[in-house]
Amino acid sequence: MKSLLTLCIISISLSGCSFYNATGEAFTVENVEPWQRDILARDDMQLDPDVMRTFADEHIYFSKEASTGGRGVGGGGCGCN
Amino acid sequence: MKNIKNKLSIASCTLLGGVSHQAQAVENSWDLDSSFLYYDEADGRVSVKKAMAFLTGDLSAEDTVNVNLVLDTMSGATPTGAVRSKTSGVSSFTGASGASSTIDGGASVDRVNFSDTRLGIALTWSHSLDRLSTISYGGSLSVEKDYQSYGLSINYNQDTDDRLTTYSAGFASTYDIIYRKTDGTPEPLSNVQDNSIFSDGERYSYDLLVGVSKVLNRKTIGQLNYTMSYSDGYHTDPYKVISQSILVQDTDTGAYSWSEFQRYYESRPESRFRHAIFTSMAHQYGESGETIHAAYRFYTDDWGISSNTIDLNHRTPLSDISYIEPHFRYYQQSAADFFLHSIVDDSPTPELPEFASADYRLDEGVGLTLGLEYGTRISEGRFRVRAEYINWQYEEAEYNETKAIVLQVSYQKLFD
Amino acid sequence: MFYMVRKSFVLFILLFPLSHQLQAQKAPNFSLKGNTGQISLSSYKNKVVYVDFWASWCKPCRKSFPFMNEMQQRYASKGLQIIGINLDTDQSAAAAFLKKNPAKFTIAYDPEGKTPGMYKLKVMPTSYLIDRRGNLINVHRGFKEDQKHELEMLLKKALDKK
Repeated sequence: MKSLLTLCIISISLSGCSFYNATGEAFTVENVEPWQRDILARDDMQLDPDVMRTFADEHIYFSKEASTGGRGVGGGGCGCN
Repeated sequence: MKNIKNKLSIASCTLLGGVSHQAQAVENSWDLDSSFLYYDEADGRVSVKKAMAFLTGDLSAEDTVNVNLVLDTMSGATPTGAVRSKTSGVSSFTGASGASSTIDGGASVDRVNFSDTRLGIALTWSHSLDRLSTISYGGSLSVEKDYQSYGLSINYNQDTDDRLTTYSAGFASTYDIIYRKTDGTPEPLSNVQDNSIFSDGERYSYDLLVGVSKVLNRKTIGQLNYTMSYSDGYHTDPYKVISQSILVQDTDTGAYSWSEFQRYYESRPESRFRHAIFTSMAHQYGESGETIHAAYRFYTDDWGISSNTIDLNHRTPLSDISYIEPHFRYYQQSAADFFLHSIVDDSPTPELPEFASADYRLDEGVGLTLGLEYGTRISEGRFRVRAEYINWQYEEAEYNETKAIVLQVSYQKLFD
Repeated sequence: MFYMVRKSFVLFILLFPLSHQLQAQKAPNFSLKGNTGQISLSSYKNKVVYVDFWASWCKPCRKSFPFMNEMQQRYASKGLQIIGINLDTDQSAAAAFLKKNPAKFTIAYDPEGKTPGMYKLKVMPTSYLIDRRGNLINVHRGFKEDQKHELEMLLKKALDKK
């Protein structure tokens, strides 16, 4: 599962292969000109669209699970119960 | 030659222009985003109220400052790691993080009341080195009654010339001081009744990140990160214990229950080495502009824990200004090598392992999150509200289930 | 040798990120629908033309509007014409933007994105300064408040050349 997903993302980023998503739209890796970035400029297309929510979630899961990391570095620890 | 002269004159003009206009007022806008979160576990366990204020301002065309303030108030009753026994040789026990009293619920104390307040402050200064690169410096501190954390970080981002790819590198170091509200830290694996107390625990952590994000097409952006973390020092939870106990069968009912003989403070290794690979993507599709955010993380460390996390958000616009967004998260972890439900032994002098913890968070387990968010524009900002349900199930831990709800409301100012 | 390489490298670093002085090169002509009828570059002979590519979703573009309004008003009598080429595919988005950020200069619409390729546009916004003879004399990528003075100096210099 994990290796499949990772492999998928890596292959998407490295090659120009085509996929079809749930609605049947073609998914192709292609060059995007500077004037074609209207959708990418939208707030909801940012990789982290809600910083306060991510911050809160990271704290909850950091407190309750044994894993941390991945998204970034820094941020304080806690003596969480 | 003339060309070079021209270039030089332009360069000097640029430089002078830069200098003479350094003091020129930049549209100085400070924005405040605020949020309130309520986290509550079932059966009167942990309850947290979290208030957040994120302040962002431009100091100049190249410099941005972020100030994040967080205030947590926590209370409840948290599992100590001890077994729920009908009979116990253990009479009294010091409480968990910030404990104010102990539960007097019969023979055994397997949960303990606590209440604490945490103040967190983080400051980030981002500076554009040129059109394509940014460096940011961060400092953070977090203080509660029995824990202090101080951190420094540096992050560097480099865009390619076409701005379709961004490379990132980051480094952070953190210094933590860990102690109990009333005293220092208990001697690891000492008998609770001996009350053998050491000084405060200290821990140094170093985190490293390398990452790349890339525009894949007009409607998709992806990201791949690798983080590594090494920490050295006190990793034990000074409130957690482990029982020495055996399972006994009731002669009348035939039911099994734990009988506890002794209770020891837990002990964890003095270092931890962690690795994580994180990938995420945002994709938009459809006529109405639905967006999917998908993320996956693989994590592994030298305590024997490895985990997989899948996080999915699907946003559907309800109108030009509002949306609804279901959230699904799946988390699965393996147990730490030294995780034990309890030390099953009935001898008066049991043989103790080098490291042992009965903390349910180090057990093998699965966590599931289901949530729903609604967002809408209100005047110049965005209002969001979300509700989530989280369920964690553990394999062996005495408290093998945690159920929690999360409620969050946020208001964020928009720039346009 | 090493010194020279280093020196030219320093020069390169100093010059590269801000403005590119170009060799005499004709600015590519275009003809687009605009807010004042058909807009053609060739019809602005003997004027200094400042062509700026923008879109409603581009945040720094918004910051450049007050500057372009100011320049157009200050130097119109000296022969400056600013043309903002809008690259929104959805023209209603451009209209909404212009309602919030009124433009006191000419706006041309290129929803199909034909012109940016001709101008080798790399960044939004980018402005192109064209002298009275139709030569492309400066390319400025991006827009930041502290670059206003530098841009104005370049405009003035071009306007002073008859």
